[in-house]
Formats: sequence, structure tokens, C-alpha cells
Amino acid sequence: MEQIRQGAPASVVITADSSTMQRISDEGLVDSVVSIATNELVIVAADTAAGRGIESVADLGSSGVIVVLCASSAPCGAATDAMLGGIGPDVDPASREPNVRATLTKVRLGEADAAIVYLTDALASPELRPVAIAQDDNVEVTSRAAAVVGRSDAMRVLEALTEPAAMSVLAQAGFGSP
Amino acid sequence: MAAVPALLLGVPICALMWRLPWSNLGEALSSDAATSALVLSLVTSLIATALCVVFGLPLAWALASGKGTTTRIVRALCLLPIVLPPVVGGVALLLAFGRQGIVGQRLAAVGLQLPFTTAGVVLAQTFVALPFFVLSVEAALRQLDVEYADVAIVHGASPFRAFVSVTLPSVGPAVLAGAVLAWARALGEFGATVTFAGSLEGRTQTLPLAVYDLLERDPADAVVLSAVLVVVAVAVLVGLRDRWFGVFGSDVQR
Repeated sequence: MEQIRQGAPASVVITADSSTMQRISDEGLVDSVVSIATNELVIVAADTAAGRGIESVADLGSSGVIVVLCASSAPCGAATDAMLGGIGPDVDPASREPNVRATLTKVRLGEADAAIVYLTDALASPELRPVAIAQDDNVEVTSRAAAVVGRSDAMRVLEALTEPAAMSVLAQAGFGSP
Repeated sequence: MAAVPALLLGVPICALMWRLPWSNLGEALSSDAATSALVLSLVTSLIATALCVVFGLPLAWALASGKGTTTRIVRALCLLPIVLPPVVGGVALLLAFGRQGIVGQRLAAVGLQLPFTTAGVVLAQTFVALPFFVLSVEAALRQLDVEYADVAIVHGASPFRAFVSVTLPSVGPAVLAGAVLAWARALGEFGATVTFAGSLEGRTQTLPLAVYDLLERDPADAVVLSAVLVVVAVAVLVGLRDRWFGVFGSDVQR
């Protein structure tokens, strides 16, 4: 977001959630916002003693489980806060990682027993066991794309992103259609 | 020719200060996240510097007095963290001291955990800062005339006594310079810390990590916090500079 604000040479900006896009568009930096995909949260558990015992969000609150979450300032962290706030278990994270990839890495390296990440990230890490979050408790995030103001080449990209070919690539990665 | 590099270094710092939002300075600084990050950064970077001095001195001495291939290999390994991207350094630390790491497994067996702890922050800072200290002190030790220490030994001093009374005072300025370099490196450490120790307010979120987090949320507050880092660093560097020339300078001349 700061990069767009400072005039990074980008034509199209894609955000993981809609509130980030809202902030960029409120500042008048982008136009022609389109929703391109939806995502949801899932728990990933490592193959560790404590990780194997995790079956639900509530288990993340048990003592001895090392949980890492995305930072509240990252879209995945905002979604996680919203989800946990809705359910209300006492999760005491060992770390709030700067982004979803860093969060995932801590579990992949076996340093953390579990993390809350996007479904698509979980699918991209088959060595980790995904634990679904009940549909009623889960939050849906919508990825949006928009044209950076003043970039004439942006529309072609935005059109391509919403074509069936792009949709099927996104669906293969586990994204839902908006 | 000197103006170009001076501008390259000076302009970004001035730009940072120029953009300082004076109106919400107090508010940005008094937030819990800011104060706890500042305190954590000062405490951890000072401990890391102390560790660099304690462990770096014998290492620098061994490297300076050694010759052969082994010394050269060990020196190359010791300096590696300077060129290694800090994030890679953090991964290397995890593979060594992480829960599944070579050393970390044994530590975990006795209930010791380094990742996600303040001790982990200190370890990451020491890892990246140590080479700067060793480099600085080793260079000074190499230039030193060993005959002075030999004379002391001939006159009945033990090698340890000769090192403490003769060698150490003459490389004093280099030790201090190395310590300042190491401290500065530790204070600004980001990549290895976030990779190895994670980021949690009050426990592992040092000032650089807090700045990065704020940049996503409130860039103006991030600028304030960055400026604090600059002011603290300048204050310490200026303070030490006087001391350095005052104390050690006169010692060397005597």
C-alpha cells in the first residue's frame, strides 16, 4: 500500500482482502475495483506432538501448543482476529508474523505446532495437516484487483483476471469465485 | 566526489526527519507498542553487544595469531553473516537452535526454548553483529607489534597478564569501535530476528520489527519510530566518540 502511495511503477494492484483495497481506493489511488476470488481461513498443524492433537480452533488455546498468527496489520491477521473474536477462545500466540507466508514457514519448519492461514496456503503445503474451521465461525475474505490511477494498460489485465481461464487457475489453487 | 556518497547517505535520513509528523509525535511515542519496542531493542542490543565482546575477543585473538588454512577457513565462516541475507541467517539459526535443530533438539529436551523468546532475539542479534566486532578487533591485533607482549612475558608476566596489561590497552580503541559497530548492527537487526524469534509485542518485537508492522497500519507513526531509532543511534555514537578519544586516545599516547 505504501509502495502504491509512493508511486511504485505498477499498473494493477491486487489485495488479499477488501478492506485493504478500500483504504487504497479511499485515498483515490485506484479505480475500477473488481473482486477476483474469495478465500477462507484454515488451521494448519505440524507433525509434532502438540500439533497432532489439534482438531479445532479451541485446541489452539490449550497449554503447550505453540501457535503463530499473522500480524493484525496483515490481511490474514485481520481475518484471524475477526474469526477468533467471533468464537472467543483464548489463543496466546508465540508470534504475530508480518505476513501469511512467514506464518506458514514457522509451522513448516516445525517451530510452531499450528497456525491460522488461508486455505490456499494450506493447499500449497501438503506436508501440513489442514484442520477445517466450522463454516459458521469462519470468515470469508475477498481478493480484489484494481487499476492504479493513470495507468492505461491496467484494463487489459483486469479483464484477463476475470476471464474463465483465470478463474479456473484460481479455482485450482483453492480460491472460491466471488 | 565526496559529495555524492555523502548525499546518498544523508538525503534519505533528512527525508525521514522532514516527514516527521510533529503534531502526533507524543501520541505515537507513548503508545505501548512503541515504548515496549524501544525498551526491548535497547536491552537486547546491549546484551548482544556484551556477548560480542566476551566471545569476540578470544576469537579475534585466535584469528589474528593463527596462520594456516584452518585459520583462513574459520575466518571466512566467522565473516559469513555479513554477506548472508539476514533472513537466511535466521533460517540457519532455526536449523541449528530451533526446536528441530541440531543443537535446539537437545536444548528442547532439557526444556530450553530459544525461538519466540527474548533470548532468541539476543541470539539473532549476536549472530549478525559478532563478525563486525571480530573484523574490527582482528585487524587491530594484526597490526600490533607482538614484541611488546613478548617483552612482558620475558620479564616474567604470564601470557594472560601480558594480553590484559599490554595487548588489550593498545587495541582498546579498536575494541570500542568494534563494539559500537556491533551494537549498531544489533539495534537495526530485522531479518534474522523476525525469522528466528518471531514478532510479539513486549517479547520479541524490537523497534525495527515494530516499524515494519506500523508501516502497514500507520506509516506516519512508523516514521516517528524510525526517527527514534536514528536519534538514539546518533546520541550513542556521538557520546561514545568523545569517550573514545578522551580515554583511550590518551592511554595510547602515554
